[in-house]
Amino acid sequence: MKSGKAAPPAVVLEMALLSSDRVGARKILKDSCSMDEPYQCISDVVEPALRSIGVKWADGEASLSQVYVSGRICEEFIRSLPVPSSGIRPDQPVIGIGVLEDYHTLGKETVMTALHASGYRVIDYGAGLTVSDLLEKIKDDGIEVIFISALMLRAALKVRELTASLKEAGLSVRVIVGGAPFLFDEHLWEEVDADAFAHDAAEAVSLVGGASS
Amino acid sequence: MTSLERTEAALSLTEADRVPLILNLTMHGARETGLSIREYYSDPANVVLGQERLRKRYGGDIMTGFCYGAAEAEAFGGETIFFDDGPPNAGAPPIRDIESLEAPDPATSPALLRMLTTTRILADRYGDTVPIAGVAISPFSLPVMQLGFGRYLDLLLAEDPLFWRLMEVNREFCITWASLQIEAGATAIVYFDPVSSPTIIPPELARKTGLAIAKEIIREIPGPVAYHLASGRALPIAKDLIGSGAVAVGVSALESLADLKEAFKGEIAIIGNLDGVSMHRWSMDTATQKVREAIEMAAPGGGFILSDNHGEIPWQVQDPVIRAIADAADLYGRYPVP
Repeated sequence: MKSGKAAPPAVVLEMALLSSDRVGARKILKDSCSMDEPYQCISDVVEPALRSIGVKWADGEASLSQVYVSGRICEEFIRSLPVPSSGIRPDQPVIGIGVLEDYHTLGKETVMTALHASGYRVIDYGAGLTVSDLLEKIKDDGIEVIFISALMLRAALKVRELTASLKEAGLSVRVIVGGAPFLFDEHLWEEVDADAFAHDAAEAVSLVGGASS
Repeated sequence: MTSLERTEAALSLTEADRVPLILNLTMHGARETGLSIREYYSDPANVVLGQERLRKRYGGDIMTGFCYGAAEAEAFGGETIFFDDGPPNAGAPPIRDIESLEAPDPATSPALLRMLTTTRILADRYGDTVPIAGVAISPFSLPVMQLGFGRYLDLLLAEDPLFWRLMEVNREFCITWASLQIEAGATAIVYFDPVSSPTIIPPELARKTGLAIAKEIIREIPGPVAYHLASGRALPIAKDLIGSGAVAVGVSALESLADLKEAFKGEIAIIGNLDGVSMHRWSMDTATQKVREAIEMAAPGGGFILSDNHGEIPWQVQDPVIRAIADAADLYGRYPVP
């Protein structure tokens, strides 16, 4: 760089992650993170890097495998920190995640990894869930935020049944959806009455407690 | 012109009487015949009747014996989950041990055998005038159903020797399956390979793996091949797709048809790219407009086949919209297009 000014750690990390440079990424994280303040490291370095990679994927400038591997590398680092990964976020909501109807779990795994990499504890309900399965689990576990991944349009449209059932049961649960059908049709999340749609895993993290997409 | 002549003209990069239209209607045959989707796919006679009725209702320049992708995973021991209102889906991944895996004979798999029978009947009845499309999932993309996406990516990205062992098995299966369909009378094979798309893996990795495998496979399939990325992006690997030996490429709604036309012009035909997901909510006017726009961007000079971008129109897309697409294709697709 002509100015001689070093690039921010998040930018350097992003480059290492996009190259699947596990060793380099780990070194950047180690060098730029204080073990005493893991959450600071997550919010200042990990989340911006993952978010930028997610945006690149949505824009066609990165691939899904890069999103997946980046999340995995960051998750491994967070897990190596001297605090339990479930305890980094003190006031987190009760979060669940699952795949409706089918067994394509990559989207779920990628979001779950990004959530772990951001210090959230997540209850994984797995794949092949029916709406009634998921509704029961949400009730039993007192879920406050549910992430739903869907690959097929049919499964995506089933979210509407879930949101209607949640309303009928008087449950206040934030429903965040993601997956190919929502990516191709940016109004689909509204059609199924979800609270938000995440284009990518890092955006999913940013939606845990916040605004709609 | 017959549908076959029209499609051949497009694949030869010339203008026919009008733009060929591929309506990838598979499940809709069940609606036409009044059967559940499961029942419909259980007997080739049902699928033949469904294909006949769909062609009569909407026109369209292709027929197919293809039923559902999970059938290929069934040949490897997988289960298929049927729904009343959507495509059959692959159940839990069936493969645990890659080392001892052997390629099954597609001709002994009941679901694939039904597709072969359907292809044979359609080819006998209509093959002289209508292209009969066969479908084969690429060796590189089939593992998504065989292993699950996460496990497969781990295998691929770790450069594990078992990855190449799996490719060897799948390669044999794919070539055999595609060849059987050609023998049964399929005019061409649609080679579905979404994992090689830059949407899923970086182009440089695809060039060392999926795209290299595709080039070998396409050479060995005894008939023309259309390379379909099933909604995945194509532009960053356009040159590789052109060099793959395929005669056409199925392109995504995520990319501009004008850019795609420019990238593939004079090289191979493009098939696409109406968005099947939002299609279920289109009005008839929207359908007409989308068709018109696609034709204006990609039809001039030939080498364009109008279709959806995924290779299958969702069950939720209803008759008025399909009819509007077909009518607009007929109205605006006549050469010379404006």
